[in-house]
Formats: sequence, C-alpha cells, structure tokens
Amino acid sequence: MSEESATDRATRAFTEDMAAAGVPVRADGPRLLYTILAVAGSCAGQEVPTGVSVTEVQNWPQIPPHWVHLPDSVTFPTGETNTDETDTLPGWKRHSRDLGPWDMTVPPATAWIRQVRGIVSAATGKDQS
Amino acid sequence: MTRYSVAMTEDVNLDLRRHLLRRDRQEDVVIATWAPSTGASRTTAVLRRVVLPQEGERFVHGNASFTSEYVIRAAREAHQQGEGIVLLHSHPRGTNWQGLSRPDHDTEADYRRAATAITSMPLVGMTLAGDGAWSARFWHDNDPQWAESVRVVAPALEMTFNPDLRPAPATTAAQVRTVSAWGDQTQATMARLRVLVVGTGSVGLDVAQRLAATGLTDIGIMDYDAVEELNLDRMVGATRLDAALGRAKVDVVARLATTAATAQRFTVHRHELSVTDPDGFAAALDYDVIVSCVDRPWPRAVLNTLAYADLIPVIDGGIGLNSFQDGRLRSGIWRSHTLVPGRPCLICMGQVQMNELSLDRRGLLDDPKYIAAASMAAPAKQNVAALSASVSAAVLAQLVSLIAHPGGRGVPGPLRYMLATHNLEHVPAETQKYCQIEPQVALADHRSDLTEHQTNWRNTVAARRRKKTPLRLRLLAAGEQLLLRQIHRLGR
Repeated sequence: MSEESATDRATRAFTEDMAAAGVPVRADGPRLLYTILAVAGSCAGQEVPTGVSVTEVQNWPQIPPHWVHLPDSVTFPTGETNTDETDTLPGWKRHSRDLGPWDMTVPPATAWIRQVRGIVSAATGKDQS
Repeated sequence: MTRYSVAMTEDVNLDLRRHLLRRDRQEDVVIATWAPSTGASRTTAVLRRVVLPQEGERFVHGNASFTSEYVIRAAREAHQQGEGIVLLHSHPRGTNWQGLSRPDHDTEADYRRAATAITSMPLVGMTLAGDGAWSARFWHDNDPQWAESVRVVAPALEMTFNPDLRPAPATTAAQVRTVSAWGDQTQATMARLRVLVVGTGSVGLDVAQRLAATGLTDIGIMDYDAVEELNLDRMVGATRLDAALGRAKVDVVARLATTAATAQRFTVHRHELSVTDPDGFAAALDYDVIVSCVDRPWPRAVLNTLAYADLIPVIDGGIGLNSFQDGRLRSGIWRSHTLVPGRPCLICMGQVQMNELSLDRRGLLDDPKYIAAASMAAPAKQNVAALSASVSAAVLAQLVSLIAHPGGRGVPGPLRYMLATHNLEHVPAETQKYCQIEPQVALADHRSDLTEHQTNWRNTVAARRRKKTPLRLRLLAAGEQLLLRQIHRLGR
C-alpha cells in the first residue's frame, strides 16, 4: 500500500474541512470545485460555482488559498480584481483581490467560505443564461 | 561537526521538575519524548511530552533506576509518533550543569541500544540539578556527545550552558557598567546566547551593534541585499563607500558590530540567505534567540512558525508611518512583541495576514499593477532614522526582559507606541480559538514547512559577487580594511 503524498494529504484536509462546513468539494484535475450560496451583492441568494487550485491548498489550514476560481458569467467592475486562467476550467477565471484579515475565531473552512462570499459580493452580476 | 542542544517549554519543565525534585530529596527518574529540530550545524532535541512511570516501572532507592519495561514502553510510544526518548534523572543536591557519574553513564549506555533499535533515533540523557539547571547529552554510540545548552522557553527564558563547550567569557574592562546593571550571572547568560538578527536595515543594523556592545560573543546576521545610496539615511554607520561598492549588508553590519563589540572574542556569522528558503531556515535553527527585523509577510510567517515549533524565541518589531496627502507626517506606530509559547503569535495579533502569503511568495506584493487591481494598500516604505531607533529600543527591551527578567518578569505581551499621542499601550491580543500556529508548539521538524527553494535571491548574491569594481574604489576599500584591522587590535 503506497503512502499518501503531502499533496493528497493537504487536498484531503481541505476537502474534509469544507464538507464539515456544509460545502462538498469535488476534485477536477488541478482544481477543487464547489458551490457557495452568495449572501450579499448582485448575486445574493444564488448558488455560485467556484473553486481553488490544488496548489493553493498545499499548506492548508496553516496557509489559506488566495485566488478564487469563478465562471466568466460572474463579472466584476473593470480593474477591481486581478485575473488569470491558471488551473481554471474553460470559460472560467481566477480572481484575486484584498481579502482582509484571516479570521481565526471560526474554523478555517468557515473563514474561507466567508472570504469567497466577500469576493462574490463585489460582483456586478451573474449571467443567468 | 554537529553541535547539540535541548529545548523544552515551561509546561514540560514544570512537569519534569514536579516528578524529579522530590520532597524527600532522593533522586528520581522519568522518561520524555523528543523530536529533532535540524539546523545547518546544530541539532536540537525538542522535548515533546513526559511519559510518567507506571507502578513498578522505576525504583527510588537513593540512586533511582529505570526498569527495562518502562524504557521499552516509552520507546514504543515515542516511535508511534516518530519521536525519540530522553532518560532523565535528578541530582537534588547538585547545582549548575552536571557531569555523568560512571553508574549513570552505564545506565544510559545500556539502554542506548534498545532505545535506538525501537525509535531509530539517538537516545538523549538529561540531568536536573537541585537548582533547576539542566544538562544533556546525545548517545550516538558508546560515548555521549554533550549538548552545548538547554533552554526552557517561556516569557522568561532560562538557559543552562555546558561550561566546557560554552564557557562564560571573562568580563572585559569595557563591560563594567553593563555588568553593574544586571550582575555576573545575567551577563554570563547574555554573552553566551547565540542571537540571529534577520534583516539588516535600520533596525537590524542597530540591534546587531548593540548586542555586540553588550558583550555577546556570537551573533548571526541574515540578509541577501546590498547597501544602496537610498539606505544611507537609515543605516547609520554605512558609508558612501559601502553604497558605491554595493557591499553586502551582512558585510557592513559585521564590520560595524565588530567595531562595537566589547567581548574579548567576538564572532559574527554572516548569512547571505533568505529565511524563506530551506538553507536560510536551517541556518536560523542554529540560534537560541532570533530578532526579526523584516517586514514582509512571508519571512515573518516563517519565523512565526519556527518560534513555536522549534522553541526559539523570536522578537519581532516594526514601524508604520503615515503621511497626509500634502506630505506632512500624520502619525506613526511602532510595535514590539516576543513570540514564545504563552504569548500570542503574529497572526493572532493581526501582524501577518496569512492569505497574503501566496502573493508574497509570487512577488505580487511588489507589483504596483497587481496591488491597484486587488484594491490593496501598497506596502509602506516610509521610515526615518530618528524613529527607527525607537523600534530597535523596543525590540532590545523585549530581549532584556526575556533574558534578565527585570522585576522577576519576562517579556510583556505585544506593545505598541503611538507617536501622535505618545502613548505606550499593551495590545489586548490573545491566541485565537482556531490558531494554526500555536498548536505546532514543539513539533520541531514535524512543523508545517512554509519555505521554498528560490533562485531570485541566489541570483542577486551571485550577480553582486561577479560585479567588477573600479580600481579607485578597490584602493579605498583596501585602505579602509587596513585601518580597521589596526583599530581592532587596540586593547585586545
């Protein structure tokens, strides 16, 4: 039986913590995908598919991820996030903006979900088509 | 040749003392487990937990002894956690560092094979004297290799030094007033501490010089940058020649610290390394105390983990100045704090934002385009020599509290000084419920690894070494060297 690699261990820890916070995660190549319920902004009340790169959770939970994967249908005012397409699904981008302090008064997965919701709350809209 | 040391938390120290220092003043024995903290030239056994004896597992009869059942049980428990074992005994009437009597030598030598066979790690032996002093040795073969020191890490650091490997240096005439402030014993501890200064800007340079003037015999300095002209308003003592030559900051600080040193023998260890790289990290593990004079999230996060996992107190400080839009000074805050078990970590204090780490690793915090689009505040660059001295003063006061325990107290919690109102405040920071760092206390090499092999700083250092220097500057540098050599010979 082969030993679990550090990458697998970190990915499993992230997946388990997110599941415990009520957000099931599925692995998809170099990324981990899940859905969050937007609670504020123009997407409020909608289920928004999102994800992170596997490479970004390698020090989970000591170091949280930073870049948030979102479909292109989730749009932001021009120049208000940094974007690229590293590890993303076709038709998606990953976004980076100031996330504010990392809250350690709640479990790490809860803190991460709150940060993703914070980013999504700044979106100008989600294309329903 | 590898050097050895041992470190433990105050909690482990108290557990061991409670068991080993008996009311009837008889000797006693106990076993603990340890994890290695592997530095570039020193291995430290970081004590993890105490394995108390069960009924009939040890005998107390004047000279206490272990049963083989106890040793084997503890070794098996340690092995399951990837740890080694420590056999500890007490000399209730002893003081200071203890040697090893023939019976004690034979006991440890006898159990060495069993302990190593089960744990695949060397046996460590330790002795506790009645005055609380520890001594330690590592058993790789039939004769032990002695540790150079044992540290008990808490807000009040306690050190015991091996007098053969780290003898107390003689007090020099230049140190009379220093010793009159805190006595021979504190001076002997202070002088023998191996202190590393990470980051040699305005604060690091000042700290290194003052440590040398205080009488420390071994200090390390770590920085891979060179002196530039824009550093000269803060790096007091760096010269125009240093900037013109583009000298390594570690070389300039080594020169200034050597000039300030008051010890008879003084060594500066220069590390042109980054602490975020495995090589820099390993070098940092060779020290007893680290002063962090860096401001970026990544190196601070690395040192934050090391402080708790490897039980090396890290004293961190910094300054933030901000200006009105018209350029006038609006306010300033400087902070100082010591990272040890029992005090909050940098993340719990809000001094490091962990989710900025991946950005710092990729160099994005230096990219103005990235910062603007991320709606982040650009890293503050303002600093003035007149105020950075306040940061070094605050950091050094933490060091003195850590070692000399003025008023019987160790380091305070985090402090901040507000320039506009001139208030010194205790920051009400506490360990957060889901802190990921403080649970790593004493994990040593099992800690989470935040370092990464990098080429950028290596290229910077290599390019500097390749750079050709004009003849006029080379002649000036040679003259300067000659003059300094003559000055350093005075009074030695």
